[in-house]
Amino acid sequence: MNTSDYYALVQEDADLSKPVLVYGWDDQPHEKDGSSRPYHASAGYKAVKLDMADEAWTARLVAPQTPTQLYQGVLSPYERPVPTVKEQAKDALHHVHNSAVMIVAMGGSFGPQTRDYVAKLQAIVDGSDTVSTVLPPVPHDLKQ
Amino acid sequence: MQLASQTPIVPGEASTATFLGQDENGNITSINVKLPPGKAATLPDNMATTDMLSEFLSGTFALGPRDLSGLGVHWNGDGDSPMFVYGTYNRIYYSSLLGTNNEDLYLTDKGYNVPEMPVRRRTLIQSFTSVNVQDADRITFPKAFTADDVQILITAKTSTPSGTYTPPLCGYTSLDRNGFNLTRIFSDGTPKTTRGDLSIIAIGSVQ
Repeated sequence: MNTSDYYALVQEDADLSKPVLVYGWDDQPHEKDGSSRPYHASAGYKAVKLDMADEAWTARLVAPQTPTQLYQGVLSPYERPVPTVKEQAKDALHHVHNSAVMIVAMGGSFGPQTRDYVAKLQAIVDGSDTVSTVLPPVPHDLKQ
Repeated sequence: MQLASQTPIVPGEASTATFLGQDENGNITSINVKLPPGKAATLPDNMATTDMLSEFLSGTFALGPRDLSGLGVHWNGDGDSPMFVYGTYNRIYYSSLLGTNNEDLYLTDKGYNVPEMPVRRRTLIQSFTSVNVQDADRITFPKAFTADDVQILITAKTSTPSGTYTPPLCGYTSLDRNGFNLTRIFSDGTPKTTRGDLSIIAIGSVQ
């Protein structure tokens, strides 16, 4: 028999009919007679009681912490939402921008392939290209 | 002693009841008692509440020197659990009451009996790893602290997959007692969605 109740903490407005991200973990020791005590989650969160044995909780405490989701009482690795093509384009532009600093510092410049690549990325980011679902191919050499 | 008035009872919030008492000289004194939220509780017989204790210690409940020790019970609104209170006017100690042992000594939530009187808040250090995480991930503490004043130290365990030795820069947002949101970027342009491992030390308090 368990010595405590174990809880996953999720956002207060989380819709438990869908997989939800776990924001924290806590335990609540039982009373001496083995009965449960009410658990009060901190502001902004609600607690979902887990069907978890003492041993499993102890193992979880010392295991690496990874983003976890909760769905119908089952814990599983968190499935990150796939970034939109616009978000991917922003990251790609950021990467090109970083490389540009070095190229210019060394007296170089972007070649036509790279300029075309950047223009396509910018079109996705600023919303003028709403058709593309994947990023344009990355130039082999940014000076080309 | 007679109940004079009581503030409206709101679920989850304490209400205040005002009693009128009369001493042997006929003086009427009003006494405010804070009533705990939640379900009705049964206090042991002959036990003073914290309000009675404070009245007692401050000399309005009974005359006496300020260094006179007293005992009482205080209801902690957060956990809806009784706190044992003892001390003098200048210095008051608290301890959680959860039950009694075979000798009928009151026990704290850590299994100590009351004369041991551990401090109410303790520092807890949690050291853990977080694997396969990326920017914007929610990092949870293995176990929640009981207050939001948590300090964290984040060390990136892995270098970038691009082969350079530029470590990711790590920070955080939305830090509270349960965890934090990770910010993790690379100064060499590696996409921030690249995953890696972290070693984290979190220092906070528990009751």
